[in-house]
Amino acid sequence: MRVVDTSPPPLRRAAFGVIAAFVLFAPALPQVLGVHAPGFRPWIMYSGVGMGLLRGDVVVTRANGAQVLTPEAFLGVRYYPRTMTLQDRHVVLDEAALRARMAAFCETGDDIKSLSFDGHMSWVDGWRPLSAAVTCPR
Amino acid sequence: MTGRWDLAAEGSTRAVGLLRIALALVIWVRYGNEVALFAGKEWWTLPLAAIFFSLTTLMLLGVWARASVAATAAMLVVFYFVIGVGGIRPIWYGHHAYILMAATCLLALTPCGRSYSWDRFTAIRRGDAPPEVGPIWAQNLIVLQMVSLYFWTAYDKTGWHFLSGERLEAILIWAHTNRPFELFQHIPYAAMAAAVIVVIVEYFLAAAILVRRLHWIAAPMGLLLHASFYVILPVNTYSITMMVLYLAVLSPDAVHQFIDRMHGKGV
Repeated sequence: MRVVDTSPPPLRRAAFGVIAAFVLFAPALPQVLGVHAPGFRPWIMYSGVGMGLLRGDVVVTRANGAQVLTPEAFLGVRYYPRTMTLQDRHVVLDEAALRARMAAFCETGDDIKSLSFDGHMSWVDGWRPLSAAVTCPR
Repeated sequence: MTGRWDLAAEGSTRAVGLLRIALALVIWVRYGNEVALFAGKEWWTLPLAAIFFSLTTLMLLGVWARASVAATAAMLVVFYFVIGVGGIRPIWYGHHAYILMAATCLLALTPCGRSYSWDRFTAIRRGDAPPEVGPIWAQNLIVLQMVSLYFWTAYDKTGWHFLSGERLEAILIWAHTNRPFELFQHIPYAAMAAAVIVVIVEYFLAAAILVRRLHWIAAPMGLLLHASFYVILPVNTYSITMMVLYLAVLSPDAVHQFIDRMHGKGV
């Protein structure tokens, strides 16, 4: 390493200071102060994925007995999509959404009497308890 | 801090020359198949493809190197703020797009054309090639960008929601359900252990990449971290960008000497 001049050009000093300050402290605006703007990139990785997923068993009661489904089997998905938003059909954000999915599942078979789920839903703060039960209307 | 943080310090330009080539290739891999003619639907994708492939090719080859890197950086700014933020292609607003854009912008401030470039090749033929030495203050800004990323992502993860392993569990369910690596989810406390290790490593790297004496451990640790992310999670652009940015972390002269040794010089 060579130091060719102990006094760098003022423009270089200013550019380095401004850019370094922006690079180091700009993320504090969204992440600490809650100030959001496109130019202030928060380094929040995977903030938009892995939320609204179910963990637990879905119990489907049919005329000939009970059947236990994984959340993925219940939701009709084998692999979650690579790009997933909170509006995605595989996302269940609350009990009302879960009940709606259960009501839709009731329509998939004439012999389904009821469905119940007792487990958790993933959210930004971790797993949240979630349970619901519906009786199919027939 | 070492002498490299003196704003007047100069060093070998081979590291930033290699970084220029590597980032151009990463940009091709990230955007090329979305910008290429077969992918375009709107009229503006035609000039976009022409601009994209022209600028990135000049950047790759090092033709008018700093200008072509600056123009490519400006194009990535448009990609991020207009096409990404503007909602035309929201994924172009991802953190991988930002780090690629930021690194290219900062690279434009370095003498990245003095090594491994057409500019240098033609200067050698003319007999007036400058030495492979230049100011490294902007290369240090790339290191600070990595410091910032490591620190703030670790800061975001510092809480029970992540350290408990719960967020990681959910992310792994999203990425690995009904895939072979799903088995990992059934190992007790594996997600918690992985979460704690990731946060410790990220805080460590935020400091260690600034300290030359720690590079011997920080560089392999960082590369291993990003290689792990690459194979476990769908974050290929982000992972590979961070890996190539370690060229900026290492001492420029150490990189130069390593390449000399690889070529059998100075042994």
